[in-house]
Amino acid sequence: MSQVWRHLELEKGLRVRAVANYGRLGLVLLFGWAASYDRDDDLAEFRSWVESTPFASCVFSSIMTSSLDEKLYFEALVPIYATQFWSKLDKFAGSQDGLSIEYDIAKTLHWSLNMGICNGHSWEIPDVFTLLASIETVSSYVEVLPGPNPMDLSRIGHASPEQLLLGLCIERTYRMTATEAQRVFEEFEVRPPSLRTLRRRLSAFRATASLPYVEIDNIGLTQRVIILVAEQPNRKRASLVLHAESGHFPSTLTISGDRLTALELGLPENFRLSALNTLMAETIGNSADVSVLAIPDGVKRKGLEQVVPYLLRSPGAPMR
Amino acid sequence: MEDTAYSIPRIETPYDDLMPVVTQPQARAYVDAIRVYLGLCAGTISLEDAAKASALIRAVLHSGFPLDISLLPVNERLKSRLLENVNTLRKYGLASPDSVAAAVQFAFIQDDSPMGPNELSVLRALARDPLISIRQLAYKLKMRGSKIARSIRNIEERNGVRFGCHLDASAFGLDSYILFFRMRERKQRELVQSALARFPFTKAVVTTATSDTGYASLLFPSDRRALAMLQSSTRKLTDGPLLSASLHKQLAAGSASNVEFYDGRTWSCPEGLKDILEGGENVAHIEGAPLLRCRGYEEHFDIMDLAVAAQLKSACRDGPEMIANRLKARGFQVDSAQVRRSIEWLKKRKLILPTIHLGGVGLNAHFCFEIKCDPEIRRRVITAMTLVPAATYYVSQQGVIVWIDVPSIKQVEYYRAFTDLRHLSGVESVNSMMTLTPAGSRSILDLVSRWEEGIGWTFDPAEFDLYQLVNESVQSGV
Repeated sequence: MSQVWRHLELEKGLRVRAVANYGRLGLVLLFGWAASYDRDDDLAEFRSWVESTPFASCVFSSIMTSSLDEKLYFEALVPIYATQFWSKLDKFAGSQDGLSIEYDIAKTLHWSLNMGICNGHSWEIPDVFTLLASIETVSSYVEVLPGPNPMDLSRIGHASPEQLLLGLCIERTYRMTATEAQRVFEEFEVRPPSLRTLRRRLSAFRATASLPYVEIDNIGLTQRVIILVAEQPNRKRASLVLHAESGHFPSTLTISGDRLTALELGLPENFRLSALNTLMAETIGNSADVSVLAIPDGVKRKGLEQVVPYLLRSPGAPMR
Repeated sequence: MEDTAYSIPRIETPYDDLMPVVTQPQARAYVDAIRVYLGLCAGTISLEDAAKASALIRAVLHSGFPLDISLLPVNERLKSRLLENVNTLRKYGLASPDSVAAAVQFAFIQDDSPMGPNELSVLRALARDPLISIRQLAYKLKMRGSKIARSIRNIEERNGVRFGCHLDASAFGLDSYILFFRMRERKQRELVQSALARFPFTKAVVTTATSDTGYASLLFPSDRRALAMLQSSTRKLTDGPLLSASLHKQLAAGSASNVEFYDGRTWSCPEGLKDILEGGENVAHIEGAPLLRCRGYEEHFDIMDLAVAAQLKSACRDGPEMIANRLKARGFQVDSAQVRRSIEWLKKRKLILPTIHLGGVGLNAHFCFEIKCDPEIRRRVITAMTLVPAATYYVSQQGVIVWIDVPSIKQVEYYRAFTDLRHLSGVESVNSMMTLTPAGSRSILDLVSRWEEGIGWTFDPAEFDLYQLVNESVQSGV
């Protein structure tokens, strides 16, 4: 077994990482999208503001959207108390000038990699018509399906510097050893606890405050898309339907708030984006606002990498 | 199987037990369309009955299925995809017209199949000369004729390759137009689609579920009053459901299939497209893409020449015998000698440009761009067509309309290259669409019945009132 693992690590870049429970660390995962109707400057201005903050985790612009307009997608890890950030965001969102911004706070996060539909060199995704039929059928009884078991981000806690660094370690490598973790603490000039204590705390963090996921290259998932859904609060049928259907797709990451849902899919090259657009528009598009964005190559989430150094440095932050 | 409410001739297929039970007339029409095709594949329905049934189905489905099913070639893969989708309908208990329509539409999405070396050589030769005979191919490629024939069948069957042609319809006193529009609201899509499909001179209407752009291709007798009516009614529509609409008269058209970039599995898309489009590259030395110009009325034509041309548009490699049979099934009195003469005349007068359509050859992303620009930019766009895997282009006074088929891994690059044109001076606008499959269109055989010997084309200018058609659609509650 460890031979196979080693092989996968070497040949396919297999890594097990994790997403920390940001709520526990006193952070909210903000996510959303912005679109501008013919006023590219407004979008550019918004984008450069988001990217200039220490909180931006992922920002990208896509011209390959289902409605063929340009959309900017963003995620940020923001401390609750960052009042300046929140008021600037509200200001952008409130401006009438043709910049349209939707955003929400993530309540849950869910990830899956369905190797069962991989036969080694290609993926068996049902053809588009079967997906359509399946979605239409599921829509009629989705409320009675057992709910998904995602990570709950909604309980916001306070985090000590040690907790922040534990989160960072586990995000980098899920099974980071205590020795490696000590080095990370030293990197940020925070005194690490003893190895034994560290080991215990890492273990506890893994068990209660993280969602592991697998990163692997060269398994034929060359297209990444993100499906964005906006619904009425507390009427989240579309996101439930997408959850129910996620088993059909190779890899899915679902970020869900009260109103908005972002579902990121990894897809093989031969999957037609136009078919996905039509599929979404003709099923959940009937009861929710939905758009599909192609994610440009090379876009990665920074996670805690950027915000933790900021939090450790910034004086007056309640957590010290 | 009992006759349906609209008296389709009795048709039976070996798959009747598998068909979903549907009651709604439109849903039944779609199911019958599937059955007609399956019947043709199984040989349980004659071409004549299929043609009659097809015409009745299209009368019910005017906003939907424009394809004449009786013209579709027998294709085992299409058949099995249709059967799979029918099975899915039954499994999930779906019976609405939309579900059955989707079952049909999605069956046309071609799967990708890699291509062997023989098939690839044959495809390359056919892309250069779609009408090349098997004997010439055998000589050129040093392969046995039977092997060539098998390769051609394989690429048609497994890779969805089809042989058609562009036609200079102006020779017959007909004008080709494309009406490119943007809807005010996406939810008007059904209404606009239905009204345009009711227009008797529409060949195809294409809209998408996710954007507000669309187009209709039209073919009608060249007449000032008719055109004036069409133009004024289109203008009225831009005060209504349409945000904007442009009528493009066809001056020239062509297609390019650049199979030399395909190795049987993947496409290597060449560099230089952006340079050509933006004028950085000196294009004088690049051989242009094929183009068929509309040169105007031909004095001595027989209406049968148009009927034959209509057949060639869907299958340009069919021999005179087969074309004659298909025309006879549609009620035309014609023999293969006449067909042969028509084909010779069409070729001699340079009224047809044979083309090849690539289906499941790894080109999953389909775009359409309406580029309103000056002649210089238009020239560059046409030259750039030699660097796109597969493209069709339509030249008008206002600029050029381009359809491209590219591999999905390059879709963003190609999309950007064409939409960035809007930043160039000399370009007024670029409207874009991403479509699901290359669209099918109505056969122009329907027009032939409007020709009266000694009189010419018969029509009423009032038929061109698109605005009225939209109102009718509103009233009939679409």
